[in-house]
Amino acid sequence: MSNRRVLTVASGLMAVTLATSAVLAASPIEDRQAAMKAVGKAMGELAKIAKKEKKFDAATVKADAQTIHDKLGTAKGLFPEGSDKGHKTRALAAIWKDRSTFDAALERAEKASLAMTEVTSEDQFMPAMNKLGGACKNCHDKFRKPEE
Amino acid sequence: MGAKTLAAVMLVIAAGVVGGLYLLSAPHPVNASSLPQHVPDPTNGEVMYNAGGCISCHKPAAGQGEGDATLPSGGVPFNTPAGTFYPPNITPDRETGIGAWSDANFVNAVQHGISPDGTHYIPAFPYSSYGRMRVEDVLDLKAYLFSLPAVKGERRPPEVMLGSVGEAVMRRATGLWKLLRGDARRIVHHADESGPWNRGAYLVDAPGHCGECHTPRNFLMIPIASEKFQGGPHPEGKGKVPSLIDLVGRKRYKDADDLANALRFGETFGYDKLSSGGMGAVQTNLSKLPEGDIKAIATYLVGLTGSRSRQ
Repeated sequence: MSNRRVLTVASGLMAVTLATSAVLAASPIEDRQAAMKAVGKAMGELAKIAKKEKKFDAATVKADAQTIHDKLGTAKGLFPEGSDKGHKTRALAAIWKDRSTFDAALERAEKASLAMTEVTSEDQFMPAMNKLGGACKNCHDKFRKPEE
Repeated sequence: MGAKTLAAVMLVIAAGVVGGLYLLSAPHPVNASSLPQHVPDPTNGEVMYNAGGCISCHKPAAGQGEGDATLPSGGVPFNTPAGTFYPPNITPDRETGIGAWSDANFVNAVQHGISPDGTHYIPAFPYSSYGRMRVEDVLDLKAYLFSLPAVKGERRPPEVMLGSVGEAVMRRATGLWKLLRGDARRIVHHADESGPWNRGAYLVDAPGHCGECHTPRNFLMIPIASEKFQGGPHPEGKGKVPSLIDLVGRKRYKDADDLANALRFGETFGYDKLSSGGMGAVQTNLSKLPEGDIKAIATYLVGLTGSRSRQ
């Protein structure tokens, strides 16, 4: 194989690698959407208690809060630079323009969800829920596009 | 007719048109004598303040005033396709706020879009909707604002094309826009609808100014009456403002109570649809209304269906 040929093959391989990594790079959007969906589902369960559609139960509250906390923990790493494109997303460019505010907003939600895992009685529930809901809203207000 | 004569005739016509437009665009403020006798109620004024979402635009810029983020001392940039505007200080500071304003000054500003010095306000200030309010409610709003601590603010001219000349032209041209838009009609009471429905219609259409974003506009930026509340492009250019028609049929909310819960509690009750694109701030304001008013808004909104002629 001539040098030139090696170069051609090598650059071909590189192109494939780059294309693959481009596809992989698109996946944080789907991954964080899946994480947020799971957060939303667990939040929906907690909301049923807030709306008095479901009885307060410390064990299920803890489990749902843990899900929210875990998923928010994974979501943190799923907003890499440049992941505002390549897939349908409601993430606003403001996330990357004002990264420190975004990180602080996500951390506030993580902390609020952690506090919810520590709720053991019904009278602790609503104050914790107000904080958690407020933290979700705080981030969505600033960094999420309206629905299409 | 020679070319010179023709040119002269054209010039006269052009001058006539410009002069005519200038006269047509003149502001027509109301006089103090036309205001009703009214003992203002600042408690009702606070309801109007929250329904009107005043703080959303007049919130203080970072580092401005004495740093109380709950007071409407203004200064946060408001970006529109026509330029960047800085909503003014509406605390009762006499120099930088509205502390020196008379009742007539206030009614002219809020309902007719005319400043105390007799120029038109740019309609980013939703006076077209506020124009539908009862004057008594506007006077109550003034009383509430005057009950707030006075904060020193900074006055900033807008950033528009051609600077102050551009601003003057835009303000005067707003007079023509007002003519084309037509007068804001007061909300009519419908005796065959419930009390909450009528109250909701008033709160939504007048102080709430929901149609400013939820009703699409034509190329002259005039809301299209036949497409009221059908949603449209987001005024800041990102995403869409959703339609308010048939919220139940489209499975957005189960019923009026469900929507009222969403407006009142937002994400705390797991409702995450109201917190993006600026609606989050609106929900925060609305959550401060008396429970009955939130229910009234929800009652009116879920009644907006495609087949219903009365909106």
